Amino acid sequence: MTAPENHLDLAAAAALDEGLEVDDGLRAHAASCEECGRRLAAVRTTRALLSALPDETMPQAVVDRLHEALPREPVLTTIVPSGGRRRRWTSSPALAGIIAAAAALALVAAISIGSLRSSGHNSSGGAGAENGAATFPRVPSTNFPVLASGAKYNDNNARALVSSLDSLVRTPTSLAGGTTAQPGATQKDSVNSLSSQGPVPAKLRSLFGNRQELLACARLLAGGPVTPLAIDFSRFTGGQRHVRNAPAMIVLLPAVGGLRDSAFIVGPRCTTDPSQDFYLFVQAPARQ
Amino acid sequence: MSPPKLGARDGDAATDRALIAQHLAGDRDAFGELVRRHQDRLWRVALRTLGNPEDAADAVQDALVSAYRAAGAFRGDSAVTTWLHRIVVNACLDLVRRRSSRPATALDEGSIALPAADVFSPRETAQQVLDALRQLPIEQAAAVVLVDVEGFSVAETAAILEVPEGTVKSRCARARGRLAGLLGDLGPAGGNPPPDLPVQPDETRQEPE
Repeated sequence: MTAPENHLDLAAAAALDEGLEVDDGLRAHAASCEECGRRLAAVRTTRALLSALPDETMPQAVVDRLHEALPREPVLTTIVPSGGRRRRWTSSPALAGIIAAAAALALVAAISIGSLRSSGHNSSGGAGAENGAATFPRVPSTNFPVLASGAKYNDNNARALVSSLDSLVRTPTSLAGGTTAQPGATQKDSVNSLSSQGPVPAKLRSLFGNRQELLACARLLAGGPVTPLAIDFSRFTGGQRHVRNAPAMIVLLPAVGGLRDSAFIVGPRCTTDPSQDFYLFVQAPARQ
Repeated sequence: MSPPKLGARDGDAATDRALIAQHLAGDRDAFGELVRRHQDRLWRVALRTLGNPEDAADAVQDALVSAYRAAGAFRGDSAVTTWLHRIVVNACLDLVRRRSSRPATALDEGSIALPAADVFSPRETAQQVLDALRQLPIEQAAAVVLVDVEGFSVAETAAILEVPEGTVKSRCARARGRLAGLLGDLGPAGGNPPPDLPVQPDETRQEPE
């Protein structure tokens, strides 16, 4: 008989049962050992006992407590990561409004003087964007404006800036100061015709000219095939982790599934993981 | 063995996504409907991972309020149910880690005898299993509850826990080994931990793997 210390212990039996790596000698021994067989059986019995636990429903008291708690929570247009303490847009509405208005004016001014620039790729209009269609475009296109506004987005001004950006790409007449759309051109033609001296953060320069990568980024963020309305290369300041001057892309996506146009503000990794370089999600205001 | 308890997982995933979109569009009833579709399963996971209804209620509420707020972060690259379970399990982990100690029980390793069918009722047997689950480190408990109790696949559980599939398998195996020791009357060697998986007297749920 094999010495007891050579038997499968329960952890090894469970590992063998799960198909994990087990010492070859032990495995060979277990194949013909009655005691090891008992222990394997004990592990399988344990699995059976777990799967046989009775179904339970959420107690009504918990249901009531939950449904009482939820409606008190406002639907935010910005993401608050679990456990986060992000200052809300509404926590100081007057100050936030002033800052946002100033920032929005700065963005529009930047556009007006031609400080937005494209990456040199002319657009003939992203599918699904021109008329505010609330569906993903059938075929995602690399024809979308890529801008470098130089604006510094933060928690307080992001909504206003995104609204301005959305208006810019949605409404040709919003383009001011000598950037009038040419007859027959879409608004994005006009946006793309702008030149700019706006800086592109160094960490984003390789992305700035790579529309396939940008399209992949937009797809990742949207969770499906989509042509972004625009991508603005800029910086983000503030947020959950109080980043300063972080390189940021504002990926403006068209309305889909009942949502409004919305923007993800992300870093070079293009992720929605708040622990990495995801900064903010903002829905643009409803368009008139 | 009972069939997998799929519950809302068999439901219409598209409906779940539509409810998220409606919620984000300002429909105040949409999120409540989403909760109703998943609440029982989320409750079971929290209750069996944490071991007591008070903590489970706190964790589920924290989790669903977070989900309500952060619905805009849902990317759609996983099922809504996966996303919700992830948030609930994380709330359970957070709760246990915040407290830095798990609920104490009087049960020692090997002290829960596997009840004979003619001695204990199914209900009593279930209670013994639940008591044993409370003895596990929280990460192991979460994995084995998702896989063995709720019937999620290893891949789904890996997505929920945001760990590799191999880690899920390892955690489940460790959990089953511990549980078998707690529930089984296997003699002196049977209930002992292996040399490479020491059971510390203070091995409690706050310890990450």
